[in-house]
Amino acid sequence: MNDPYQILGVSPGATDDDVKKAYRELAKKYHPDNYTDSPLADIASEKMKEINQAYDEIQRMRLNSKTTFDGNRAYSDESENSFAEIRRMINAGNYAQAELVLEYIAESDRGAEWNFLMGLVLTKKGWYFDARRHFETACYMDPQNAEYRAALERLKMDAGGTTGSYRTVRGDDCGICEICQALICADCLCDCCGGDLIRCC
Amino acid sequence: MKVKEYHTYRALYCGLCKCTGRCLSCSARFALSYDFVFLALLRMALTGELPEFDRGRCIAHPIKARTYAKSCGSLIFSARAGALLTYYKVLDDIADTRAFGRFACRLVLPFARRAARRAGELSSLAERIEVHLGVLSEMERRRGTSADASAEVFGRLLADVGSYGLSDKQERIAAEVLLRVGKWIYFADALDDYERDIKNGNYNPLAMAYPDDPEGGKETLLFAMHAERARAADALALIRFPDSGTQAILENILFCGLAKQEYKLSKTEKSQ
Repeated sequence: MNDPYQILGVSPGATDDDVKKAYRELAKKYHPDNYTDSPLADIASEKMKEINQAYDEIQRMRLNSKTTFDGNRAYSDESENSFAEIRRMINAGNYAQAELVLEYIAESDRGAEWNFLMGLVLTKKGWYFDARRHFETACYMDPQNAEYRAALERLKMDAGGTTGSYRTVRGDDCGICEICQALICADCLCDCCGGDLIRCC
Repeated sequence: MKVKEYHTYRALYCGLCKCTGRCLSCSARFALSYDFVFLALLRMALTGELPEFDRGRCIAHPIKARTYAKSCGSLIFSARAGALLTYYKVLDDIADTRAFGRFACRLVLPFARRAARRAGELSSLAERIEVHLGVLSEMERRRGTSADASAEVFGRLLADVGSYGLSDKQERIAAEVLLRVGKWIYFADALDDYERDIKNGNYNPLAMAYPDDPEGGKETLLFAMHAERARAADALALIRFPDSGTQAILENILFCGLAKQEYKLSKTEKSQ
């Protein structure tokens, strides 16, 4: 394997936060969802695998060097490590397994990242109510995190589906509706005369 | 929707009512609703069965003859499924409501039971319905916070009933459409019953998930309803429709009917 730091594009002296940030940026960029319809999906998923391995490798190296003199730090890294593991499961498409592992994590350790990951798994499952709730909790716990906010926004955008976004009923406080009303009235008149102005109604 | 499609829709309702009277019992005709016309239409779309129409009078319209759809497989199926589901709904209402409501439900129960017993081949579904309802009441008893989990059970119940007896692909499409519509109905009920459930201390999935932020919860719920409806529409798009009329009515129910309901719910909740 190549130098994991090189793969993530950070120097070996980078802080844990920098490493995590770099990993998230790359993971977002090469996420399989961005390539679902692309002929390059396999290459993207290879790239994703590489990034995941590099991140895990760095986590492991840093964990080993820390455990010798700082037991507490190692403990909190461990829970972060398990989140990295869950991320890898999600990226590999093992949503059911990821959900099981997430359920297993103790209630007290369920921070912003747990809620975010749970939200991802539930989105895949099509449980949009719960997914949104978890994303909102993640954003609430960690308002600075762009990844969580992006996930929430994306869920809001995507949930409309491919056919559901048109023909929505709007409030009567917009000008467009008045135009629509006029059109519908005209369509009714045409219908009565045997013609048809708007085919769908 | 065109005027003639609206007439078809009405005629199907009349046909379903007549069919219920003939196959089940006269009392069961009172429990009918347009929901079961949706089921009948979905079955027609999937089996490729086209209804024939006739004109005639009935008890509800004794003076003026109306166009109605003649009895056919999809209508009979829908009437039977309706009787079965109504019976379980009455049972559920008895468990949930109190005092006068409960008494009224008890009065209706024998009629509902008699109709359900005549559901023919569908009677074998009774056990599956009971299993689903058992899981659902267990979830509600444990006061679970996942609204999607309980909604999914209800959706699967509808899917099991509605997709009964169809072949492979048709069954899968019907199950997906009904799962989504079922979840939508469950969410709509949660929103509709919110105030009453809070007052009576009953289980309400919305109140469980968002104990401190009812407004945010309602928004999330409406969002989820929109998502379910969109997915039902995606599944509906995979059907090879026998004619454009059936397609237009079904799409109209999903796009306009449910959307209007969502809009109404969002309005009433805000005004309170």
